[in-house]
Amino acid sequence: MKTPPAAPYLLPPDDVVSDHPWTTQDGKPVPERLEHWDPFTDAEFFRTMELDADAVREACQLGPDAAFALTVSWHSSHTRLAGEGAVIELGTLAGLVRASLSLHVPGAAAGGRLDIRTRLVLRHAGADPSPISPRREGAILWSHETRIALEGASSRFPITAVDFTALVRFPDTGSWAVEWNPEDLEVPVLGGLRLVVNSSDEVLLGALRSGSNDSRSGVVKSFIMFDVARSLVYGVLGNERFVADPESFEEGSIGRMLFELLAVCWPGTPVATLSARGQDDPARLETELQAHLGVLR
Amino acid sequence: MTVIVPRLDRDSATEILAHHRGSELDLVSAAMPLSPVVTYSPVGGARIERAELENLRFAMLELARDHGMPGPPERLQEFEGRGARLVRDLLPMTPHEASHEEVWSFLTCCWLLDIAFWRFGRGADEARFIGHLNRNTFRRMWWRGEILGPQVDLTRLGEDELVSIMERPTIASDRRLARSVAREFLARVESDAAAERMKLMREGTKRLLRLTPFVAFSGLGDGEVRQLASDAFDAAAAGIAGKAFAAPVGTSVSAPPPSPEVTGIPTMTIVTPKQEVAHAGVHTRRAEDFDEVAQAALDIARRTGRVTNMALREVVPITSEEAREVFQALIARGELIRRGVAKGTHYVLPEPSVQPATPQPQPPQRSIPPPTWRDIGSARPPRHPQPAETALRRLLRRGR
Repeated sequence: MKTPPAAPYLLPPDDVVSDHPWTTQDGKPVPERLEHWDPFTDAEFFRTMELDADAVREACQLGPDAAFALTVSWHSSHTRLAGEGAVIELGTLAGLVRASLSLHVPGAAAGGRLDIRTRLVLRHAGADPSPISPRREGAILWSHETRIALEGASSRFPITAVDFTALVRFPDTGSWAVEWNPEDLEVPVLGGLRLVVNSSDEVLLGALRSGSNDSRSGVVKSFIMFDVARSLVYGVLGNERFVADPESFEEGSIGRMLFELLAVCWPGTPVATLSARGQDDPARLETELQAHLGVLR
Repeated sequence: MTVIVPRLDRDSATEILAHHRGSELDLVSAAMPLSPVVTYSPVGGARIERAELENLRFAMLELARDHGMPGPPERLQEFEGRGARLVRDLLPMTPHEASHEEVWSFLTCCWLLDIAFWRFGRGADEARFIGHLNRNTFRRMWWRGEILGPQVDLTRLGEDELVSIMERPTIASDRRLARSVAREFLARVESDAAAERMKLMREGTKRLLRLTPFVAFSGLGDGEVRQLASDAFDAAAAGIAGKAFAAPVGTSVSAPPPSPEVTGIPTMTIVTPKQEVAHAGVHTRRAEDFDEVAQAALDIARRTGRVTNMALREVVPITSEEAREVFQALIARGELIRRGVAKGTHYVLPEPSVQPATPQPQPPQRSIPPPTWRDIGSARPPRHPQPAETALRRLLRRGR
């Protein structure tokens, strides 16, 4: 077991600081796991702290001219990078003080487990500290750590945001396209399939961004999900080898993923039947897919 | 704009490696690039273009040839430094993307395997070719470029010196600290103040790391972080040269004003005159004699559970020897107990004895007067030629 560090100076008791939980922008407590986080999503956290500055000074044998600050920092287990929020100076304020803290965590530099540390530190020891008072600027007087799992456990559909003006194949004002080869179903889902969305379409991008939950975003996402599923279902039902032996594909491959999609949407219905239905009665197949996916609901 | 890079799973990477380990370097070069089944991040921006990978391979090959490829590697420090800058600049990934092992397995095994073989040998540990965190040939280069930034000349840092920064997570995770360490170290090397540069780096970073449990670097400004690094290297250099160095403690000259995010909460308190006097008295304490230093040691032990030689010297400017004398005296008085002789000596307060329910007759106790510096000095050969040169006097002379 790691020996806890013994500070070579006086520390205030824990109860001189009362910390409120970290919240998200909408004021809700930060959950233990941010399910909708992705590396393209910056995280914002907020919290309020209250402390008894007089009690801190007394416990640390510091004079009234001693100054403190609150600092917030984060550390990501995935990138092994750390960063810090703005330092909140408490100055030489006496009595009870309240401070609002905020922390911005750039998604590109984070991932895995996020440790957020809030600390009360010494900024200025004043003119008359005792021999065992904290003296060094930045000396940690109180510390609290919150741990958040950034990446959710749910699987994700591969999505890439690309500016369509830079692509010759797609029109500049197109919105999205599913890129895959229905004849090559052995390739991994994360290598051979992706939804390409036009990054110059801010509205679309906003709707698809992780965690977007307003009604308009819901409609856009619902419609895209149906369109993607329809492309995949029609594509795979047109592959003769798949229709003949749909269970022959390895775990993680596009073929296996699409077999499982069909099994979920049409449980018990043979793939050959679905293939025939796609040719004979495509309207029925599409409305059944709408019903299974809950489009616009 | 950042890119996402194909990912090669470990099994496939191991297979490629096993297949090419036995081949001559020119055959491995001829086989590059390889096109196995790869995956991508499920979310991300543009996928890296083949032309960008070709550009990377071309630039790295040219650099390797400048440094002896296919013959024995020459001027490795320069190769590593220039390579780090190239890999970082030609692979505009996010740190998140660059933290995936499979990304580096792909780049190494499918595009740059011949260069990695040339650099470390075909028989080198698998970690040099699989995307290992600190060992992969190109992953470590990218991260050196990323963490230390363009202002640090990587060609001037040796492998051991870079490892001292990059493989110490506390330092490497904080770009400001890592860059300050590199700059302060190189400044001393440049001024020829570092006769033993490897030792200086090791000692300097060790001194910095000792501070990390107690100092929040996040609460310091850029200048203050750099000053801490500077002090650590000055202390290390002095230590190597056998000289004493007293690092200044506390750098700010005045208290900064409160931030706008801070408000006072109005409260009503009743303070008696007696309490006011007691409170004021707390701030006028001074280490005026031996007992004052001993009291400081006991206070640390009481409040933190233990006290070490270093902890006492953090609060009272005395030497290690003098601190030891204080501890010996306190042990003799039964006020401290020595612990952890094998693994870091420290001193703790003795366990309070259990008081019996009814008073028991006590044996007569001899009163032991508290020792003075003079007493301690007379118990063994004096260290100081002049009796007046006591720790207390030296302590007072230092202006405390």
